[in-house]
Parts: sequence; structure tokens; C-alpha cells
Amino acid sequence: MADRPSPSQPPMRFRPRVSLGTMAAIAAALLIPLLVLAFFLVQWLVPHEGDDRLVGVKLAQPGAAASPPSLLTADDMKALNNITNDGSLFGMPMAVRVVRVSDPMTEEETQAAAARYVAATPIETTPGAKDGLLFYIAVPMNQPKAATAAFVPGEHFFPQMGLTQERLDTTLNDIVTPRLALGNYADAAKQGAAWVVYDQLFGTMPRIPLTHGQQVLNHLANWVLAPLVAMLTAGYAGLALWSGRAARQNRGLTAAPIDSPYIAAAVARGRADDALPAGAMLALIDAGNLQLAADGRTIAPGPEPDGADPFACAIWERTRELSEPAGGAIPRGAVLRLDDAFAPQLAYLESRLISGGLFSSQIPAMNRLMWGSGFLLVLIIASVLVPSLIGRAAAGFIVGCLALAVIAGLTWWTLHRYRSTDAGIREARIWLTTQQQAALAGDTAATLALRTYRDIVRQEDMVAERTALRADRGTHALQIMARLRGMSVA
Amino acid sequence: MATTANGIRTDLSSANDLRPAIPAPRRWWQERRLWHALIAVALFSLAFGTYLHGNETTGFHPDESRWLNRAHYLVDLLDPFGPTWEDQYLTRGQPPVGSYVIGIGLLLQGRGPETNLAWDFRRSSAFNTDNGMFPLEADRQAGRRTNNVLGALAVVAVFYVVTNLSNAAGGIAAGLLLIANPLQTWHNRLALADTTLTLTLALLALVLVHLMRRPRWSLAILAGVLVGLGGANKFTPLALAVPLAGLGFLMLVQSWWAGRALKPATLRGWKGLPPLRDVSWMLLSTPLVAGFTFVAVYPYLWPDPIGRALILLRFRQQEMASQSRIYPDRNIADPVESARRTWDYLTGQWSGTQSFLDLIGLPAKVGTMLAPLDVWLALAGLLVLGLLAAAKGLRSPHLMVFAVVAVESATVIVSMKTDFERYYLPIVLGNVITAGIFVGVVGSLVWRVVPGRVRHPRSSRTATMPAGAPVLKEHAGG
Repeated sequence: MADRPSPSQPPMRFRPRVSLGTMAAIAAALLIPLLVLAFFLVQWLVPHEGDDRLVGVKLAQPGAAASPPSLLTADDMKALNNITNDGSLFGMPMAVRVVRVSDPMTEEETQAAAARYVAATPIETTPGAKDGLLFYIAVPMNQPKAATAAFVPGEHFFPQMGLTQERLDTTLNDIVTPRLALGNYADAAKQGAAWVVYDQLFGTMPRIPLTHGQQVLNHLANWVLAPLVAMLTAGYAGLALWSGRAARQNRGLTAAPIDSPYIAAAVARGRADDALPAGAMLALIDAGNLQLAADGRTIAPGPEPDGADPFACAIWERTRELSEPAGGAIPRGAVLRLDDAFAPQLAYLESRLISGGLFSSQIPAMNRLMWGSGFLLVLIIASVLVPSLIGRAAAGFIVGCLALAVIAGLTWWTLHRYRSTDAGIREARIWLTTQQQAALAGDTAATLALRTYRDIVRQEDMVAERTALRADRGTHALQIMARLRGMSVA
Repeated sequence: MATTANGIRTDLSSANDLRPAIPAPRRWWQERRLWHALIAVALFSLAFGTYLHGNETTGFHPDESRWLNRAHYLVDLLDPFGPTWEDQYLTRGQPPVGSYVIGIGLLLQGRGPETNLAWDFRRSSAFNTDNGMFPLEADRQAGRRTNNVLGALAVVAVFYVVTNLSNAAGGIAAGLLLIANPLQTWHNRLALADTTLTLTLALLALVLVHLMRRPRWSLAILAGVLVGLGGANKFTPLALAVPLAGLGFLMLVQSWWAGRALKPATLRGWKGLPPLRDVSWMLLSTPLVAGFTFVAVYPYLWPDPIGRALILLRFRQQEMASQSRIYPDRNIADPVESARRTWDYLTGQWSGTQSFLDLIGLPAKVGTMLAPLDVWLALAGLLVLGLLAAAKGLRSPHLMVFAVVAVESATVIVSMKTDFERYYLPIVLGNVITAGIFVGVVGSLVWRVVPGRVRHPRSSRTATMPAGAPVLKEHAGG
């Protein structure tokens, strides 16, 4: 680091005119309305479900009736009324009628008789609604084992959630008819009605048929767009891996030797972040260049550091500037935001790291590449999600959502990418070993440098974990560090 | 091996070994994390053994039929536009996360997701049993074992929450209290979704503790996801997004106010507001993340997220009213009545203390007399937690856990219209957490005054800092 720019010099690195944050805001502003539209547009394009079918209804006619009444006992009648009432409570108007007939009837004759019954005595919630179901059992005189049954749904009875014509037929054949054959027509009525109300609530609804347009979109999304998105996302992941490796190699450039704990710590952390000013402040407090008030929470500038690291000097200078309007000290409340005031100093440090080959100079270009291609990919995926939703294409939709998640993860990783180069890591190792050897030989400056390095590299662990790292740090130091970083001392 | 002229290694492929550079390696028995992990394993084993032991003898609960029936929801996630997710009774009746968990449990134990028909509470037990609504024993036991594991994990999560907020003694006490609680134990031995809720809430508390210790977006998003998953299991945890966002707003104001003394124009962030790495923004994101998660895991909501979510809430209210009609003796008139019943149950029938004292064979009279102890401990712990939160400030994990415990319990009490046992489970969880904190804090105070206790100087635990290293003046006196 022979050619060291001073903190007041502008950073020597390329800065895009549009920052990543601005790009993110623009992307969000464009994409969020698109996704919202994708979700809400669907409601206009797919068949709407209509009114709530689980809301209770009232039938104008009694739920259960027998003719003559003596055909059913009072208990049977009560049970049947309970069952039909259960159906009505969840929006299914149903009536059970057990009728004495003179002679045994065929299935067709029973169906016709039931239809005539409905025509004469409509089963419906309101006149003309034709939304009820009749469960009709014909019991021949003196021949209960010859009883027959039929279901007659009104013209507007279906859809009834899990209850379909097929399920009615199954109930008739599997539940009702065997019991009628045994002469148990009352039991057949109760069991049959119970299964009808059961199927309505607990049977799985039939799959909604797709229109021709939906079928086309379904095939397109599932068989063309989904594989395409999967391939593009895999390509994006590959690009992320390649860009990470290329950034670390930094075109094979060598790195300058490290002479500062802040530089070494930044390399070890992989970024120049808020831990650096916090660590620098702690070092300045140790050296007496910053002073803590008796409560340990107010910071005041002390004597100017002499011969200290340029980064530490810049932090001291900035702290002094900030404390002036507040009467010469940073008030305890304001310490919470103090770390936000060191952006220029961090930018300066980062420029040193980049110019010294310790941080990759490839990162901005790689990030732009990742962001640009990611943005393009998200637009493509959004245009896949819309036909998937309209065409009810499961594969297209699931692949699209997973791809969005992968891209979000990779973009997050890009933003938090490790910036150190391989050469920089080697230099940091050399610095660290040299300092350790010097410290063991009794060099106080090396001991201090190592402590500063530790305070930065393991800052989160020191504050948030009850580890041995903090053994030589008092409560006030930990609290100041926590306050600066918005953390909480464990 | 590549080295410099001085013999320093340079063959590094990553910077990972730059991190632990300073502190001396500690003896394995000095590692606090290791001890905590061992305690956690012991608690897990004890809890799992306790729960597993009672599976066979615990009677059938008809709700088990429903949850096992819906295990197929897990595979139906692969068909999100399919019939399962249409607007129908079962899909509306319960959010699906509990069904997913049961489905995962069944699949992991070699059972298929297709099980019994759903129990119809309107019909008799005979009708249900004769017609395939009673689950197969193998499915039922698999579902119960699933909850045995989840319940034991909840015990571990509670241990870590309380240990973080007080100490390991408190954590152990909280874990044991949870294991001893008969209500929780009963539900952990049933194939229902309530254990999942307990685990979700315990994990949420743990995530919030770590989030406040060291704010990270990954944890903030995880907290939002847990709130959303909790809501997609039993609705009430969604209420937790409100206090979390509220506290986030307060922190945002605090940060903005703090910046006023520091020339806001020169600070990072927009208009004096803190940058996005501030924990206030993270907490403010909770309702959004929770809402997104709630919708994302519940395909029923996709066609109309807001409209259908409102339908769900209305339907739940109708169901509550219906239950209230069907079980008039369990009807709850108002929150005061709800609080009274909560007190009665948790200090009586569902008292962990009483259950434990009965277990060790003490006379029933003693158990009855001491039954309210867990609730008294919990109330004292709530007070201690509140005081700690007040002392440690807005950005403390103590305040977060206090908010979660208080709001979840209050939500349950206010919204309860029928006193089904399972509704008390979140309150039980809050109770054991606060009771554990009380034990931990009081234990630590007592420990400090124990005469003759050997006190190791803290600095003796670090070896590598060379002699003569400067220390902060404030630390010089120990």
C-alpha cells in the first residue's frame, strides 16, 4: 500500500450513475404492479365461482315426510329431519319422501314417479328456483323388500361442492338399494340421506373443465414455458457461480501488502461494512482519542490521534465534526445512528482495497451483469406466470415460482457477495501471522492491531454470543459496539 | 504447501481460517454451546420418550380423523389449481399447514398420504366408524409419532429461548415445565395440528431473540414466514404481525429521532430515516412477509387472496358460533369469562405442577394445593420479563418475547368463544417461557450470593492476548 491516497481524496473507483439500490427500487416499481395485475387479472379471466354455496338455505317444504305418516316412526322422522336440516345449514336444500305405492315399481318408474312428485310439489328454496334435491322412496303395499328409490335433483341443484350426479348414483346403488332389498327402507332413507349430506361437505369437488383457450395455455405453460424457465434459471445460477469465481481471481492481479488491521479485517470479512467504523471507534476509545462519559453511553472526542491508521484518523475526524453541533459530544441517543455517518470513510477504504487488489475490481461489472440478466429473467417469468394462472398450469406455475425464489436468492447473494480476492486473502494471512509473531515477541502495537482486528472480524459474535472473545472487553465497550451496530448484548 | 520466505502459509482457498485468529482454543468442557446442545439433546430425549410412551394409551380424538384425512393436501400442493383447493367446506375449515405436517410425517414413516374419510361430527360415532372415517391404527400412530417429535422440538426451542433471555437453569426449568404440562403432553400424543402451532410459536420467539441480538434480513424474513405459517395453521398467530410491526415502527421513529442530532443530510438513509439494515425496517416487513407466506402456502387463497381470506375469517366465526350452539356448556360469553376459565383450567385440570406431583406419588391434596404454582410462576416471570424489557430498551429480545407472549395470549382470550382445550395451548407456551425466565433470573440472583462460591477471574479464560496488553480503563477494576 505504498501509494496511499488520503481520506480527503475522492475514491478511486468506478461508480455507476444508477446505484444498485435505485435499480432495485425501479425493478420493484415495475414488477410489483405486474405481479399484482397477474393475480387480480385472473379473476376476470377465469370463471367466477358466484355466490357462497356454503351459506345456509331454507326449504319451503318439510325436510322429511312419509305418506302415510305411519311408514316411518317418530324417531326415524326426527333423524331424517336432522339430516336434511344439516344439508340446509350448508346450502343444500334436500327433502326425503317415503311414499306407499300399490305395486312394486321398476327403477325407471320410480324415477318418473319422483319427477312427477317434484312437478306437483317443487323442492326449492324460493318459488321457481328449482334448486332442491328430492330423495324419493316408493314402498309397495305389504312388500317392503320390493321398495325402490330415486334421486331427483332440480334443474339448478348442481353444483353442490363434493356432491355430483355420479356420487348420487353411487349412494343409490351401494347404500340405498342393498338396504331396500332387506326391507330396511327407513334405514335406507337415513343412510342414503346421510351420505348425500356427507358427500356435499366432504367429497372432493370435481375438477373444473378448462375452456379451449385455457387448454392451449395449459399445454404451452406446462410443456414449453416451464422447461424454458427452468433452463434459463439454471443458466443464471451458472452465471452467478462463474461471476463469483471470476471476481475472486480478479484477472490474476497481485495484491499489495497489508499494513493496517482495518484493511486486514475488511479482507477477512469480505466487505467494508459497519463493523469497521465500530471497531475503529473502540480502538480510539482504548487509545483515549475518544472518551466515554461516566454512563458509558455518551462519546466525546479526545486528543487527535497521532500517527494512527488513516482510517482510524478519518473516523475520529468525522466523529469530531458530528459532535460539534451537539455541544462537543455525541449524545447517547444519537450513538444509535453514528455508524450511518461513516459512508465516505468506508467508500475511501473500499477504494484502497480495490486499488490494492485486495478487493475485486470486477464486482461492479459482475453485479451489473447479474442484475441486468436477473431483471430480464424475472420479466420472462412474470410473462410465464400469467398464462400459467389463466390456463391453470401447475407445472408452469410451480416452476415459475421456484425460479423467482432462486433468482431472488442469487440476487441477494450477489449483493452480499464476498469481495475479497484470493490474492487479498493470502496477504491478510501474511499480515495476521506477522502480527501474531510480533505480539508474542512483546510488540504492543501488534497486540493492539490484533485486538482491533479481532474486534472487527468477530464483532457480531462478541456482542451477540456469550463467548470467550469478549473476556477482555468490559460491559461499556460491548454496549457501545452493540449500540453502534443496532445489536443487543447477549 | 505454499509459504513465504518467512515460512508463512499462503495456500488459502478461502478466508474462513482468518476468522478465529485471536482467542485461544478452549477445552471442550468449557464450551457453553456444547453444554447447551447436550442439555437440549437430553430434554429432547426426555420429551420424546414421555410423549411416545403414552401414544398407545391415549384415547382416540375424532379430530385426528380430520387431520389424517387431509394429509393428502401435501401432495395436492403439486396440483395447486386442482379440486382440493376449490371453495369447499374442508378447504375453508382449516388452513393447511397442519395437514402438510401430518402428510410429511406419514410419508417419512412409509405411510401414504391417502388415508381415511373425514369424520362427520353431525353423525354418530357408529356411522363414522362403520363407514371408513375411523383412521387406520398405523396411520394414527404415525401421525402421533410425528407430533411426538414436533413436541420434543418445541421443548428444545423453549429451552433455547429462555436460556438466551436468562440462563440455562431457566431454560431447563421451562423445558421441564412444558414436558410436565398435561394439556401439552396430551396434544403431543394426538395426530392433530396443535403441536405444530406450539412449535411454530416457540421457533418464532427463538428467531426474534436472535434477530434482536444480531439483526439480519434472513432472520427477519424467517420471522415473517413463521408468523405466516402459524397463521396458515391456526389463524391467531397472524395477530402477532401487528405488535412486531408496531415495535418496528417505534424503532424507526427512534432511529429517525437519533439521527436528528447528527446532521441527518450526511447520514445514510432517506430523509433521515435509517437505512434498510436497521432492524426497524426488518420488523416492519413482518406483516408483508407473513401475509405473503399465508397466501403462498394456501392455494385456496390464490384466486382472490383478500376476498377468500375474509371468507375464511367469516367462516371461522360461523364455526365458532356453531360450536357454541352445539356445546352450550362450553360457551364463553365475553373475554372476562374467557380469562376466568383460562385461570380455572390452567390452575386446575391442566396444571403442570399438579400433574408432576401426582406423578411422583405425593398425596392428591398436595397436588391440588400447589396446582396454581405454574401460573403464579408464569405471572411473576411475565413481570420479570417486563422489567427486563424496560431496562434493556426497545431493541431488546426481552421486549420482543414479552410482546409475542402477551399478544398471543391476549388474542386467544379475547377471540375464544368456546373453551376447547386446544385453545389454551399458546397460553401454556407463554406461561412456561415466562416461568422459566423467572426461575433463571431468580436462580442467577441466588447464585451470586452463594457464600464460598469459587469465582474464576474472567480474564483467565483467554490465553492468547499477550501479557501487558492494554485494557479499557473501565475494565481494569474487574
